[in-house]
Amino acid sequence: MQPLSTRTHIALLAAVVAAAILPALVPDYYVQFAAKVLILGTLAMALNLAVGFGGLVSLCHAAFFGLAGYALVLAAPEYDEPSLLLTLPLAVGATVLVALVVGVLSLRTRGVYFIMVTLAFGEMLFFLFHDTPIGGGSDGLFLYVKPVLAFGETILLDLGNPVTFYLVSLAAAAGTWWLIRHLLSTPFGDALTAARDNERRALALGIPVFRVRLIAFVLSAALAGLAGYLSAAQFGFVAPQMLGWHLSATALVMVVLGGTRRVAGPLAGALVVTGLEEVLKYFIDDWKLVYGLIVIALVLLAPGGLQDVARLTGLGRRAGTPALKLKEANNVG
Amino acid sequence: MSGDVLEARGLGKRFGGLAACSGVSLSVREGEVHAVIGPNGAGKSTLINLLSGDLRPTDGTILLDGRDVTVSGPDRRCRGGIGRSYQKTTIFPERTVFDNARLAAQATRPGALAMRCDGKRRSDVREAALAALAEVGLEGRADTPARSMSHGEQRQLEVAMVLATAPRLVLLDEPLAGMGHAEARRMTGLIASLKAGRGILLVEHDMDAVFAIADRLTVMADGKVIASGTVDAVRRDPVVRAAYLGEAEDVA
Ligand SMILES: Nc1ncnc2c1ncn2[C@@H]1O[C@H](COP(=O)(O)OP(=O)(O)O)[C@@H](O)[C@H]1O
Ligand SMILES: [Mg+2]
Repeated sequence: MQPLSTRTHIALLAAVVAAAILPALVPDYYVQFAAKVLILGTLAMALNLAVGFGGLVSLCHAAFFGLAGYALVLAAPEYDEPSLLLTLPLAVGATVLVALVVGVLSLRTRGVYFIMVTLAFGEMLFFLFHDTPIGGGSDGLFLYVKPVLAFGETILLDLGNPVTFYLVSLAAAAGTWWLIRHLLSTPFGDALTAARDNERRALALGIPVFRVRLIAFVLSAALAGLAGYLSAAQFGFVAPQMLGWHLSATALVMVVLGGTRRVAGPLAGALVVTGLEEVLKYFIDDWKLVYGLIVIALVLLAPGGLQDVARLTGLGRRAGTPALKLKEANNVG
Repeated sequence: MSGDVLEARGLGKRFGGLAACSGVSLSVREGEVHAVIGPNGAGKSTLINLLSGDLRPTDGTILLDGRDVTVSGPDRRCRGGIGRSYQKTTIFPERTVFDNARLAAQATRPGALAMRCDGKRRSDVREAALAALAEVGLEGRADTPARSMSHGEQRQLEVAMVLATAPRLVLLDEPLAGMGHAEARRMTGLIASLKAGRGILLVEHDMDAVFAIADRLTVMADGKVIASGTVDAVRRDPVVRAAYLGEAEDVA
């Protein structure tokens, strides 16, 4: 990572100030929408730590997202405010434990196999909540009272307040952005991207590739868990869909649209995808078909993102090889 | 045994029915260049992969400075002191020459996975990287993207990366392959200069270079060692002449 230039600093500061005073400028509905974008953007940035910087195209990040959401709802007392200080570490901690197991078992595979194995783990977690009574089955669960951060009797933060909630989501997105950016400037970040670029060379330089990837995968899952916790708190509801591959794939689309090489790229991708959905829902009854077609077009047109992901899965290279062989065969014949 | 940086005993590797290496025993002493020659497919690269940990042997034992590393992975072995180059250049082409060397220097030093400091600001790593680049003569190219260098310079960079890991044993797989005459001579001189305080195992087809810098020579064919000893002794060996070198004039 390059150090930030003064101009970037000013732009960044302006963006943060604008984001912070947004609630004073627009109606509540848009504040809630902005919070949703920030939460999904946090999920997408977290996913991109694995995909873009680790070269690990995961299709189970929604499961981490949903797991943390369920953890909040299950840990919350029914008619009392859940404590943010208790439930957030619990939710993220549960996600970390599951991600450790999934990581240890899936990081032995590469490329397309890694996608398949993570997809399978994600679906297992989906069906765990869908088909068993632990989380209310396919109906999901309600969170009647939103978490608060209290100091004795004084309530410092009440996530039930839309403006407070928005500011907390903003802090989560900014914190995630900062953390990933910082990580990439450290020796750990160097080791992670070196392993992505050339695993064999990384190993031959002494980098313990498996351990580095596992740490990055778990960190990325923890941040996805933070986003899932906030999402459950925002809507006061969790359902198995929160863990399903559909959301994992949507987060991957955000990553592809925003670009894998910039830390904040997926946040922009989240804005595009969520904004598009919002606009189409308003104007068109059968919006899903149009939405799907536009997303496909955007993904194909987005500069770099799709090629990056294809290359990381090995699909890009494999797609090139048969054509090459054919050419050689023709030359011989 | 004293002075042996590396000792391999009875190394074997099977790929299905093919014995790419079998019963290979050899040692590399500190301060020597031990060259391994043999026709294509003799198992030279397989041997290097077994020694570096890229491949797990089916038989045999590998000792590095007297410690058994037979089952360690390549990253452990590198941290233990084995550095290697590949027959096909293996660097980070999208990064600068300096960044390639910096990654190498950083990965084998304390704090290799640190999450707090800024990797670019570590002066010990920086100095080691620059020293390694200077050793191969690339100090003037530090800011060049590796991909835009010539093939020969990329091979030099790979050697610099190996040196930046501060190895006790250097494994070089055909480092002169594809190099021009001048580049090859320069690299030969460089390899000869590396042996002080280290052991070098050199796989190479360029016989002029091998005869110029090797202290010991091992000849492989069909996965087996067919001769081993001082360069002169191996050159006179009738088995070697018959089995590998064929045209005796080339050898003598
Ligand atoms: N990964 C592999 N899988 C199967 N066979 C291999 C593999 N690597 C090498 N071989 C075979 O092992 C033999 C020795 O190869 P190699 O060690 O590359 O020889 P050299 O480097 O001496 O030219 C060859 O017959 C080669 O085809
Ligand atoms: Mg070879």
